[in-house]
Amino acid sequence: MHRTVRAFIYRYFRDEAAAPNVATIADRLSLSTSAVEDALERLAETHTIVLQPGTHTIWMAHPFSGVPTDHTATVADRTWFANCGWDSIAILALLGDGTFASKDPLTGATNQWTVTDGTIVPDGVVHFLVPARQFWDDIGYT
Amino acid sequence: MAFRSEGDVELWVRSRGTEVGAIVDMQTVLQLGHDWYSGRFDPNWDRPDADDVVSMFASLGLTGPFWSLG
Repeated sequence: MHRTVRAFIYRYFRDEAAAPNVATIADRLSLSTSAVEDALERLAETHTIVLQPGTHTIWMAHPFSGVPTDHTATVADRTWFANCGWDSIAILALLGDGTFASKDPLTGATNQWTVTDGTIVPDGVVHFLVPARQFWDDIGYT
Repeated sequence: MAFRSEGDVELWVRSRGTEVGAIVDMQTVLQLGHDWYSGRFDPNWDRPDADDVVSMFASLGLTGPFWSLG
C-alpha cells in the first residue's frame, strides 16, 4: 500500500503544486486514516519522504517541498517549492521546460534560470556540500 | 545550492570557512534530476540499490570519493 500512497503523493505534488494531507490521501485512495499514517511512517523510514517532526504532515517528497522555500520551479503559470537549488532544477527535469529560481548564497538575491528544450540559460553550477553517502544524515541541511 | 559560477562557489566556501564539496554544472544536474526522481510517480518503482546509484552517478561523470556510497 505504501507504493500506492507514494505514487499518489508525487502525482498530487505534480498536479497541485502542494503536499496532500492525510485526509486527502485517505479520501482519494479510499483508505483509513490510520492506514495512511502507517504508510507515511514507512515511507519516511525509508527516506522516500520526510515528515515534519512529530507529525504526519509531509515536509518533503524530493524534489518537492511541502513548505515555502527560497527555491522554486515554474512551468507556465504554476510554481512549485523545492528543497534546495538542485531540487528546483530536478522539478523541471520532471515537469518540462520552465524557469527555476534560487536565493544566491553569496548575495541573497534571487537568481533565475530558464530551461528551453532542455537547455539551461544562463550557465550555472550546483554545489553539493556533503558527500553522497551522507545525504541522509541530515536531509534538511543537505 | 545553486550558484552563478564556480568562482562564486569558491568565494562562498571561503566566506564560510568550509571546503568545496562537489561542483556540478547545471546541465548535468538537470539530467541527474531526471534519472534520480522520474520513477517515483509509478507505484512499481523501487529505490535503486547502491550499485545502481553509483552507476547512475558514473554515467553522468560523477565519480570519485564524493560520489561513492561505500
